[in-house]
Amino acid sequence: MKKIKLTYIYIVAFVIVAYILLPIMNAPYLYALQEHSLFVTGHTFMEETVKHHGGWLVWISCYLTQFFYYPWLGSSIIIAMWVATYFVCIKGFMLNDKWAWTAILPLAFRLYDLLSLGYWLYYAKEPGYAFESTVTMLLVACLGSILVYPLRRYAKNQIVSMAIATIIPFLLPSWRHYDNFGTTMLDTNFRKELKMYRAINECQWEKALAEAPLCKDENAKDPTNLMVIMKNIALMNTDQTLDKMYEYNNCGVLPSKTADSLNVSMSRQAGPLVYLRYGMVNYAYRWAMENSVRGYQNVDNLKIMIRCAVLNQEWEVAMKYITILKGTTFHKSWAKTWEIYVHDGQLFSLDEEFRTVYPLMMNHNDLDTDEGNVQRYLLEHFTNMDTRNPRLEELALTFSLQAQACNEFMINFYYFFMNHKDIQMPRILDEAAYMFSQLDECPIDMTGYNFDQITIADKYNRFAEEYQSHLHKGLETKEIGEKMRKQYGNTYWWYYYFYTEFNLY
Amino acid sequence: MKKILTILSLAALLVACSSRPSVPTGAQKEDKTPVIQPDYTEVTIPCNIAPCNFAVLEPCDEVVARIIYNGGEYTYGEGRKVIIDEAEWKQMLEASKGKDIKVEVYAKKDGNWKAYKAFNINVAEEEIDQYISYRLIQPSYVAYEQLSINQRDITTFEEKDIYNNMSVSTEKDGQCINCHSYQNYKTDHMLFHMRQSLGGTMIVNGNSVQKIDLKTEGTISAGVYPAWHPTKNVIAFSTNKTGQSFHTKDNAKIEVQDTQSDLILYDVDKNEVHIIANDSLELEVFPTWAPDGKTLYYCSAHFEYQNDSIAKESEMIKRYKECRYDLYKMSFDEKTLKFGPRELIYCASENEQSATLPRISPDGRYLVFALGNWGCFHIWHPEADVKCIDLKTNEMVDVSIINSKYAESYPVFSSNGRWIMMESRRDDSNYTRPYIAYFDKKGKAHKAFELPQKDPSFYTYFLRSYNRTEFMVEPVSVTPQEFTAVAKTDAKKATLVK
Repeated sequence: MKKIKLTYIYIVAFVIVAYILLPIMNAPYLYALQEHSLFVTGHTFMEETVKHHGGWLVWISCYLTQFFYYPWLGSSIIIAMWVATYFVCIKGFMLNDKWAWTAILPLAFRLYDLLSLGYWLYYAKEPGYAFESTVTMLLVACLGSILVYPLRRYAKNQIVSMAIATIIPFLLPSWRHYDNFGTTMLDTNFRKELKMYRAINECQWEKALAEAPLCKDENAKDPTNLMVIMKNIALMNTDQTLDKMYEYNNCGVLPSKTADSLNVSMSRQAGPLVYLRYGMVNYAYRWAMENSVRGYQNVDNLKIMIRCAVLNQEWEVAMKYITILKGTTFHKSWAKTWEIYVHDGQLFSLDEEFRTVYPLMMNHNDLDTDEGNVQRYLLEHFTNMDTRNPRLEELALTFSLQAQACNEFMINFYYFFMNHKDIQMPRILDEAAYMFSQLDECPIDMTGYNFDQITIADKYNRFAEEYQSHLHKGLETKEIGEKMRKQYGNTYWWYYYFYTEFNLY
Repeated sequence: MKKILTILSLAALLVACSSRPSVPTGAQKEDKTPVIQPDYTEVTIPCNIAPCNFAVLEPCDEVVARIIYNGGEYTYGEGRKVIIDEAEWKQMLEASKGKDIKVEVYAKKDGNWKAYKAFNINVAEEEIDQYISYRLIQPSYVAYEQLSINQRDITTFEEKDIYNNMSVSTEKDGQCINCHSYQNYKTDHMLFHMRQSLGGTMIVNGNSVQKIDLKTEGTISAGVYPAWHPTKNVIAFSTNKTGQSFHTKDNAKIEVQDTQSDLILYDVDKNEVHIIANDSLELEVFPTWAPDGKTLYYCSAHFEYQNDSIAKESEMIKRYKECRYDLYKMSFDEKTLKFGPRELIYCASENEQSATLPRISPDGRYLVFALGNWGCFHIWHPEADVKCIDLKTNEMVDVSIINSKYAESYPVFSSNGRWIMMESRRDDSNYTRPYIAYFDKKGKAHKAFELPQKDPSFYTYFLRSYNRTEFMVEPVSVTPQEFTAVAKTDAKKATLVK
């Protein structure tokens, strides 16, 4: 039987690993890479891109990055380029079976590079990041092979070739800290955020909810604040907020920090989408614009800006962005749909985007600033909102719950109750109202309100007693919280007593 | 033989590529002029402007434009675009001074040609200044990266960087660059500011380039909005404490507000700062000189803070609609550098409006400015328009033809006074574009046209705004590299003369 050459075994093994790590394990990440890039056909985009140093490389890389719209397709293209590089090295540098592994090294670095953005995905300044080093590597390998060609007869034992092949990868990798690679591969919150973001962006609310951890999932990692917000958006758009909000884990944490001290800002990561979904269209547009200035214009921003422009009835600028997006390969049809909306408002009124966002735009204008902190601004804005609009009223209620703001909640609750006397109050509102009504600073006299004795009053008294008893035993708040999570985790009381560290970003 | 064939084939290909489209016969007549981008229908253009290339926005697959001028005609058509040969355009303009160029547009849709009603482009006898400069900036709110101040030869399509803010540092150490200004349209005395890291005012004074720190102990800030005296080596600046806030719903999106502002005079040769106006109840801003240098025009808003318990910024945000600017002037003694008492020129506030950014025509007769409902940053105010006052009669001149339903701001006169260039958001309400309008000898304004670009769809794809468009009679000769070298040095501190 003919022995299979190691040269082929190495590359086949590498290809298998690459497919596993790329489209199989990291499809949402690859999809996000192309959403954070942009390639538009035409002169202006090309001239604007190539006028900078290395512009042609960026232009080519942006062209290739767009294929990650289909992660399998983009992965196949990049893997094919790696395979081509491998064989150019093997042939060009005359690497025999024994030394073929050295030609795998540059490919491995490229694979590592591709997956080592982590949260830098939102801060990258290279729109063609995914392909830049691969294109460069392939070009350098070809050039290297040509340069080495005259040396062939002297390099009988491949020493020169091997040295060159080994040096090349070390000259090329844009080495990033290993824990960013860890973030991409292992940080469940980062990975869930990518999935939830896409789902929220595409109005696939149930898909977003499927990623949010429930209170009963005791072993699940606490979600990031952004995950909590995206979960709330999904609940709001499926009319489940008041019934289910506290069935989910609301103990938001900061995104994991990496050694290269990246402080992730929500404005950068998802500010435009979050604002858009809460009907704050101007602020969504603002952050899409700011982010495009700090980084570069990309598909994700453009789609936000188109939606903002259409919702604001700024038809001309909507058409400008739509025209640009129509110059892309894979977002053309999305852009064409929105072009139809520009011309046919009736049709737009049937769209999910309109159905969910437009009612939230009914508030009056304020002159304000969020000072770059999306979450704090949302909490303050909605908690203090004086509105009688039913959709916004519910938001004011839920945000005052989240902010643990007794006064604002009770006032909002009062109006909500007055407008909904004919329905059963959601449990979570009763829990909060009962607890706040026990406080001295409660601005509303709840004497006449009929709280359910068993499910609200007695249960809260038991909760308070249990809490006090743990406290007397000398337990820390965090420990008490863990002990009481199973029984009370889905109550407002638990959230109020044990979620005390608001790390807003 | 093979070589000859190749050469012949290439020659044939070249001829085929450069052949002109022919005017279609039997086209169905349309009783309207075509919608084109940019809109050059019935405009008056300078006799030295770059080709007015345009795209036809009517539903069609292919267009042919026949351009008929005094002495001949040319046809063009590339898909839906009409791209005019630069040499032929020059020839057409030269032959058409003071006359009309007639443009016939034919458009093909589903194999059928339509002939649109012809339109005229009037060629003025007067030239326009060969160069303009502007800052290219995304219409962003707070962030700035990749800012550049550029100069464009508007008789061709050539554009170059004057300075680019990426050349020294970026991100947290980055710089905002702004407010380029020239002495009397010439570039041997010019300036622009750099803010934040390595901040200072870059001043070109003849052969020397210096970076000056104009912030003194007795002034609100470093120099902000500048006006270089037309003959003397002094510059009037406003000093401002500026903030931004954002509309949650209004399409205006942003308010840029000064909570304090004064006027100063900087003596370039002595490196000295003098106070011009610093009334605490007035917000003085946007100085500009009369062409003879004997009068300084500026804007001022009377604003009294009423609530000591909150920060001025917060009160200004609450009362932003009450802040309205009027136009004033004061005499200037060139020998003593002293100013006379202020005189009201135009009281916009009494009509609940706000006047900003005045400029005087080179003959001293006309004053153009931007008028909005409140505030000082009209490019974000959709209702803002360019207005004009005849200083001889103190009457408003009707220039409504140059305005649109979206914001117009920053009007400037060319050095011969026959062209008004302004910033306009009429294309899409968000991105600022340079528009130029003919202002004839009788003081009549004509329809404005957009600065021509080689690719007519350029403005659609271009994602930056043109800010502070200024005329120049010559290009800036200091290179970006020379500016960069000075940018890296420490700024020289100016002294306040009390």
